[in-house]
Amino acid sequence: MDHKKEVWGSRLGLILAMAGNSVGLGNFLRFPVQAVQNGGGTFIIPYLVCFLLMGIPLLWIEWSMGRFGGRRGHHSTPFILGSMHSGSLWKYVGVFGIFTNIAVAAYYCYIESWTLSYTFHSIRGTFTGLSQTEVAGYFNDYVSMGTNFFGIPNEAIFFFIICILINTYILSRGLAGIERVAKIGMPLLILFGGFLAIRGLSLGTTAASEEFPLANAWDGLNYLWTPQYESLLLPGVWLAAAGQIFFTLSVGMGTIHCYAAYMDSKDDIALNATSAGFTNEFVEVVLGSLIVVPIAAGYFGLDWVKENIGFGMAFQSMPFLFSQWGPVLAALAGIFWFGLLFFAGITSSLAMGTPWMGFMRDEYGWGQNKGALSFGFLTLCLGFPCVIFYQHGFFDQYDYWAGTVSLVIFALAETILFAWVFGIDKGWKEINDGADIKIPVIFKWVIKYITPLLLIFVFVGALFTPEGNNWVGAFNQIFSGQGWPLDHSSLVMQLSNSELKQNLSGAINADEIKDITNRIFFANLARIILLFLFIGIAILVYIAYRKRTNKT
Amino acid sequence: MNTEPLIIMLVVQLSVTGVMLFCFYKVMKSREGKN
Repeated sequence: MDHKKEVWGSRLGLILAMAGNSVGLGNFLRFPVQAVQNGGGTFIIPYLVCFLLMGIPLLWIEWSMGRFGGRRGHHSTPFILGSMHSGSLWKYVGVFGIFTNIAVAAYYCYIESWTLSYTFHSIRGTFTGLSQTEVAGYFNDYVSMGTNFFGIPNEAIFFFIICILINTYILSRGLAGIERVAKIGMPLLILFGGFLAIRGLSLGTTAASEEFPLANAWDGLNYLWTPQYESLLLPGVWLAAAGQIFFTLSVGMGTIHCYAAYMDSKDDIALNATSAGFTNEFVEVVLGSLIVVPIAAGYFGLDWVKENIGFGMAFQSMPFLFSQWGPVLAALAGIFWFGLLFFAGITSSLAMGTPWMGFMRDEYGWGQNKGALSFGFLTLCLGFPCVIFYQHGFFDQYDYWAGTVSLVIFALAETILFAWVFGIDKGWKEINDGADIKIPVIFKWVIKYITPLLLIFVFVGALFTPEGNNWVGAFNQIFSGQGWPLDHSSLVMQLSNSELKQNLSGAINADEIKDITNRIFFANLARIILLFLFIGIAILVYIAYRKRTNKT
Repeated sequence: MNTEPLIIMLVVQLSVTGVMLFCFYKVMKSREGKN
């Protein structure tokens, strides 16, 4: 453990790396989907409220926990959390901060590889002249291993491996490599996004066609930004807004702690964290809202967007829309769109590698190359089933359990640790130590009471999501003695594969039965793999703890 | 685009952009930022 302590090269580099960690594919793909599915303009008010009452406080908490741990030589969550309280269990809660990153990186690198592949195809003009159905079909072929790249079969695997190699190489360069990527990637991302956002704003009715004569880009913007105040009373909308804030800021993952652990002990937290948080919001609220929805509404009309919006739209529809802009502009727009998604993705996936590398370096003396290679190997092994069994829902299981549930559990636990166990007075002092801005003291109470309550609200909401996300209806039903109608998407029902089992009982043809049976098998397999990963990391933490106690 | 959503969009987007730029201004003004 004689490695020289790594530090960030510059303050701007740190902020851009943190912002890059937060800015991800979700800023451009998840945010518009959530906004459209939750009533458009209704969504933005709860979203901003949750950003101020949960997002920013969580950023301050995680940054200060990271710096606190870094001072004591810890660069990953197990021992950062462990250093904040003598209770031995906290370090095992910290296992989430490594587990989540490895599991999420496994499927996230796969999506990242799509953006890389689609950037190449945009340059090659693969989508020129294809119909909307053919472009959508191309994506389905791609994920079913039906496409090849210059004669190399299984293109999806090829690009997945390339993507992991790029991540591994940059990680092996240490913080300097990450900082350089953030300094290049973030400005390029904003430039590319700015170009597409201007196009989205200026499209208007010019793209209406015979098939969609009423298509109007401004309808999309009207829908996103027209407030419907009565919907503010719907808990489902608040839950979706709080969930989006969670994912967009990458809180509850352990990456922020890890990055902050490499700060100097007297560096500012308050201003740095706020800068990174608002950069993420700029990319999401300004750029994210001006690309997918208005451009799609400009070509297909608002009704089509409401019906079809989803994560896949980025790959199944956008290339077709770009191809309508003429060959040169289509190639440029394709490069900009998939390029910005790639930069958004890689700055996040690099962050996911650092907790594992920091942990193995602190506790087992592994160098940068060994740490990066082992992370690449783990990601490849865990991600491979996502690539091969994508059609069987393997990918979705990782996304749900590691990329959703784990984040909420960890964020709730760390907030309780910070505000109630470590103590809000010590915590508040930690946040303000070396601060370049004065945080209003009201946030001390927000961190102690409001943020944990919002997190409990999110967790309970995910645990017992009512049918159709209709909370008012569910409460009426429970008060009339009919019980709580659980939705298939609720954690409780997900655990029992209730939707798949229901579909299986209603299936009649052999192919359908085989497909659902496979899905149930792969869902359980994915969960077992994740469970083993968690246990494996917990064992590593236990061994490291024993080594530490034996030394003292 | 209708007036009400246009105003709300501009207020929200300009506020977010403004706060972000202000933060970066403060960062660049600080000692570490200049370094």
